[in-house]
Amino acid sequence: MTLAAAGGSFDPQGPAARSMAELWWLMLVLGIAVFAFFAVLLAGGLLRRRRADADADAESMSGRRFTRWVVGGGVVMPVVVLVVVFAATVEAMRDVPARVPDGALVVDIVGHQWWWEVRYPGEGVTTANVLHLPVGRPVALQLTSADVIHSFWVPALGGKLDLLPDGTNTLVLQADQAGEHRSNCAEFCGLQHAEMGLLVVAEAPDRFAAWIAGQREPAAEPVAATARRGQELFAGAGCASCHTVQGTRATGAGGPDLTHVASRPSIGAGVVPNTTADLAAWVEDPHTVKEGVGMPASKLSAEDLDAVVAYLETLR
Amino acid sequence: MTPSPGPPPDAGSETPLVDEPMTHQELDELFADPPGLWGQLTGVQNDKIGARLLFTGFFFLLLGGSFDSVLMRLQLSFPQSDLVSPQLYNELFTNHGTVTMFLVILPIFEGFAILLLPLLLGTRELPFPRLGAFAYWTLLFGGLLYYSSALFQLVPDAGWFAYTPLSGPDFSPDLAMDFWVLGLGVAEVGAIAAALEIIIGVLKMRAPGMTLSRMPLFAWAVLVMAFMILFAFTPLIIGSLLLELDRGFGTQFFDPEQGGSSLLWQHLFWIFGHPEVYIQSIPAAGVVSMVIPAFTRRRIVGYTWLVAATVAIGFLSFGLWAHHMFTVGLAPIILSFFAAASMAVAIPTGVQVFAWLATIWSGRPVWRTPFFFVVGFLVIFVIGGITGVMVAAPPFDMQAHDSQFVVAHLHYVLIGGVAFPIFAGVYYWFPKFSGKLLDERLGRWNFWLLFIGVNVAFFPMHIVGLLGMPRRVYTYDPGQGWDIYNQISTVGVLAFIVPGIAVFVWNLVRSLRRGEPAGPNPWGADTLEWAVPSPPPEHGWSVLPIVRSRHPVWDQDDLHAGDERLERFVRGLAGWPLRWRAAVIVGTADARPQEVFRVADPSIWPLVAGGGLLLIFLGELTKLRWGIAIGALALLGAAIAWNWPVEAPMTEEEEDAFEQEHGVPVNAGGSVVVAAWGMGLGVLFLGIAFASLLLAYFYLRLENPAWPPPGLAEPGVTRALAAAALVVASGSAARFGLRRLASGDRPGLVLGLVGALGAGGTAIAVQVADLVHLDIGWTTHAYGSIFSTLSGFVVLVTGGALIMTAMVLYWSLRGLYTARRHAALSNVATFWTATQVIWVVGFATLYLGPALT
Amino acid sequence: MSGAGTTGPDPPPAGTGAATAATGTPYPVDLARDRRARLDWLVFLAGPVIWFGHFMVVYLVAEAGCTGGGPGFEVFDPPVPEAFTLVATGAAVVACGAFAVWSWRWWRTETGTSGAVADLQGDGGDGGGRGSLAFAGLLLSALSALAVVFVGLPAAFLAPC
Repeated sequence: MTLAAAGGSFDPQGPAARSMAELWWLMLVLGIAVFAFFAVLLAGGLLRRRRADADADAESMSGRRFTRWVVGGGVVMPVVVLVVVFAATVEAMRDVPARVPDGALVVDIVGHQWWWEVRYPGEGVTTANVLHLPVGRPVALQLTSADVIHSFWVPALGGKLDLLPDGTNTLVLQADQAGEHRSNCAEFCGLQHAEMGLLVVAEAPDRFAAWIAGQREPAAEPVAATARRGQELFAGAGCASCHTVQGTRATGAGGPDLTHVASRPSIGAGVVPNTTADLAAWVEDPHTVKEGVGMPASKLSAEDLDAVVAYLETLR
Repeated sequence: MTPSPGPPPDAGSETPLVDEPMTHQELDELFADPPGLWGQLTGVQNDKIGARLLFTGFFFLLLGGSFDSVLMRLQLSFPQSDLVSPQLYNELFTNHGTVTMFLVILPIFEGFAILLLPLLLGTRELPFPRLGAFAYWTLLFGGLLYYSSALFQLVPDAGWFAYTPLSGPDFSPDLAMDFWVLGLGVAEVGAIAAALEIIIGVLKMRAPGMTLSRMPLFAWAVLVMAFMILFAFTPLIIGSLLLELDRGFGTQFFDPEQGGSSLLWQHLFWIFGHPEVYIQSIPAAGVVSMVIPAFTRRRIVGYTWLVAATVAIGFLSFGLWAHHMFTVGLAPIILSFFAAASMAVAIPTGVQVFAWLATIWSGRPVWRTPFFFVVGFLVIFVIGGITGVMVAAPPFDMQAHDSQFVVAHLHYVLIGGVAFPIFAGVYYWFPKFSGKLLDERLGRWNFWLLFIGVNVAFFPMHIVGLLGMPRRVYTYDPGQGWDIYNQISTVGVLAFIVPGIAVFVWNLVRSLRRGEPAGPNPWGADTLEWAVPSPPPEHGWSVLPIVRSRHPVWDQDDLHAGDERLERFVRGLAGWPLRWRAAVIVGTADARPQEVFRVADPSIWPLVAGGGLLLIFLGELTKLRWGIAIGALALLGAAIAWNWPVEAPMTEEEEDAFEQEHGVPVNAGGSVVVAAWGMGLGVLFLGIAFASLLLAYFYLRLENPAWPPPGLAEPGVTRALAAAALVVASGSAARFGLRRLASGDRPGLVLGLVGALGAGGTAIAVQVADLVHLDIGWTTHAYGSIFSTLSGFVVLVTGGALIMTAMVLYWSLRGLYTARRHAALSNVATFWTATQVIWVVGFATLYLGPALT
Repeated sequence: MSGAGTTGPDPPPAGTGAATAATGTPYPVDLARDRRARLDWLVFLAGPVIWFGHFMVVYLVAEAGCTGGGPGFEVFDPPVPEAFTLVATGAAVVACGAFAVWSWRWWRTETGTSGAVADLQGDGGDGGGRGSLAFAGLLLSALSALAVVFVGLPAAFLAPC
């Protein structure tokens, strides 16, 4: 799969991440300065040459010298540094919008063990494990969880925020330039926490609109005979009890919406690329690909398996 | 300018030694535990308990900390590695965090404290030797119960923080998390027991003349640590109780569907979890404050400042628990409270660091292994402190939180800030207790391997964390630029840290067998423990020292000289009585002798009590609930037998004779002061537990729009009022009885106690009847869960008061108490007062809480 | 700890043998001295205790205002959290300041000039008196006042919820 250029929070691509990065660089500079100051004093104390009769010196420390050390170094310096850091912190916190800004795109994200459900309520689109964002427009992500606590984090766009089973947290982000970001759940959520990936695609508004339009379409009717048989198997073999394919009888909830599954770059929340072979392996027994997922092995014959996979590949 | 005392003497040359009266041998035998296996099981001697705690902590580290980390590092050295399965990896990091936070550093520092305090403070024992033994057994049992999960393939896997609902019954249905909750629960009880022992030991059992402001900084540090354990572990025990109730009894504290809250656990856990970090680092700083003066030949600069800094850190650490929760969606104003408190800790820490720097600067460094570790500590700890201020800023923490950056930060703090001082402490004090010096050349290897290793292993994690690598992932995809940093980290662990630890173990083994003899004061240090032989005798001090300085070994030509009356007193105590274990209680602040009392003898009951506690938790684990009943009976029986009055080994006339001569009262039957302090801290423990439950109530109330939930009526108050009135009456009756005894009216005492029993028993009956009548149901909604649990807690406390009352009634009828010897009665009266408050506040909250809103 | 009040006269100095447990004091051990030490503790710990009290109160009010749903919690709705925080902060700073002054006076009276210098530096002094504790109390009160301001002040700049 395509991966975003490694940059993480060092390479901010939106206002939220930029404000955090500015705070980080400020704190890094101050931190290095404090450490250097400390290191010089320590090295001096350890290595400086002492007079042979230094005992008298060792026993007396004038009030002024003491004040310089403990009051100056131990109190005044930290207080000054902290006031600067804390003021910058409060300033950065003020950058976080208190309310959802006008004109923001609202996206609901529901965490599941171990995949992401992504809904665009205004647009009537539901997808999974991929989040498309228009560049230059604020996006309000309404985060919640269907089971345990997860956490949403795209380092290049902003900080993380948890998905709780009791309540909704709103994270406002904005991507200033196009790009793809690999994101992973950031709060330990059980066995496959490491393989709960989300691909975030920031793209130009027109491309985003085109993507939304494509996703709003119901599923394409399969044409080829194999695929048609696959569709029947899909409905009959139990797949439909968990998965929805818009425009068909498959309306299950619990698993990802598969209406446009073939258009997604990966399967299993980023665990393998979306190729025919991987898809077949997944449908046959997802536990060989990603141990512990909620989906059971399908127990299909090789022929039926090919048919189902052929059907799924028509869902573009 | 103060007149400076003479320069500190060189190593070991002029150290004044304890003179050895004829009685030295007899005292040694008196304080020794019985020989053989029975002696091991009944032993209470503080050296033994302390050494066991240290050894067990280190054993758990080797078992858990090191093995886990090597496997985890191997797994992460390459992307998409299949070396370790996801399940195993989750078990490894859960175990690694759990073991190091609960079963390693804590017992090691409690062990240091229990081992060292009597020597350091110039006294013979700690106040509750049996409680010390109990603390050890519970730590051992708890640790073994926790580890036994491996035998059943049920290793806990929800992280050392066990966030709900992942750790709850729905998402962790097997018994693995029960091993976690229950095994650690046993160990937590032990941690609190040891804390009580340490608090009273430091405050009440010091050498005459060792005022609070002459106390060694290590004693200050463990005093603050012990108070923090009491205030931090108690909410954790309550949190664990609620979690286990959810898991085992179907309550709904953490189930959002039924009015519970997923964040309640995080609050209760981090109210423990963050202070826990300081519980570990404060005694570490105390070790540093002991080692630096010894190896710079310089009195510590800014003693008072360091005391204030230690106390300040202890307090501040209770106001920053939510900085572990910056990403759960707290309100901005709340984020700023916790950010401010987190950053404010940097001020007292800055004072500490600069006081140490000033001491080094004005001293003359002696480069021995303990000093190497202290210098390494300073460097690594300051880096960890700087990154600590960074993650205290919420906007940055939203990037760093739960990423590898935090892993780097916490290992800098815990290895640099805690493990290095532990190594310094071991190298520093090992000669005192073994009589052998550790090898210096191996010590250098040990230090440099660890110092390089920590930086190589953990520095790259800062970078890879900010590149986006989360924590607690068993694998990651290639091509994100993370591989190289992970490989460097693995090299740091395998090539440096593991060999470093191996060198340390080898050094211990080798030096025990053929280390150089140490002599009493190999480092030329300033504090009292260096004035006794190495290894020290069982009783530590034959003649107690009389302290006139913060640096007695440097400043005092004769440790036993001082005020003439005090001299007579300490010599009198050395020659007398020799039939029982006499120790001295001093005034908390002024360190004037207050009481001579008998510390407890070896006993099997701490072991039985620990076993009973284990059985309770084991019964819950296996869901064999009759096991709980047996365990509770064993615990209760052991507690009664443990405290069974022993005939005083000396008559009141003999006690008076000593007091006539020396002016210090004697209580051969057992201490009044220590008992009163023990009860006071016990009540404090209950109070904290109660406050934690009230906080849980408040929090659940906050998150629920309807309280009580629809379908439930608000509870009527009539019966509850009657029960509360009865409890108030029974407490008053108990205090009435005590007053009657003071004026010599024994029938009045019996009347008061019977009245307390009757009224208290009736109150419980009335209250339980009302609860049955209300029939709220603890499994349907969090409202009912907290209502039942809080009621149960209050009733249980009252039941405890009734049992104690029955015990003292029994002994009153047997004529045990006199106007002079009745410590147990005073304690029961104290407990009743606490019970009254808990009952009234508890039920007022439950019955009036819904109506008030 | 003992139930009845035992606020008798101070015990005679140790060693005079004038009074024993049997003849002089109603209880075997005189605890009154520790009671007097409570004042030392008060001056020593007042600052941090005020800090913690302030912290918990402003936190709980903010939590009630921002998280609290349901009937009865409207009284905590904004702007109560930030207003309350600022008022409580002011009060706590004044209280810390008062204790700082008290401990400062105590320290000056307890220790002469030389003792004071010794405490300030923390070396040389023998630590026998109560002055060091009062001085530590002064430091703790001052730090607490600073920390209270740190905690409370951002309320003036941030949206509460």
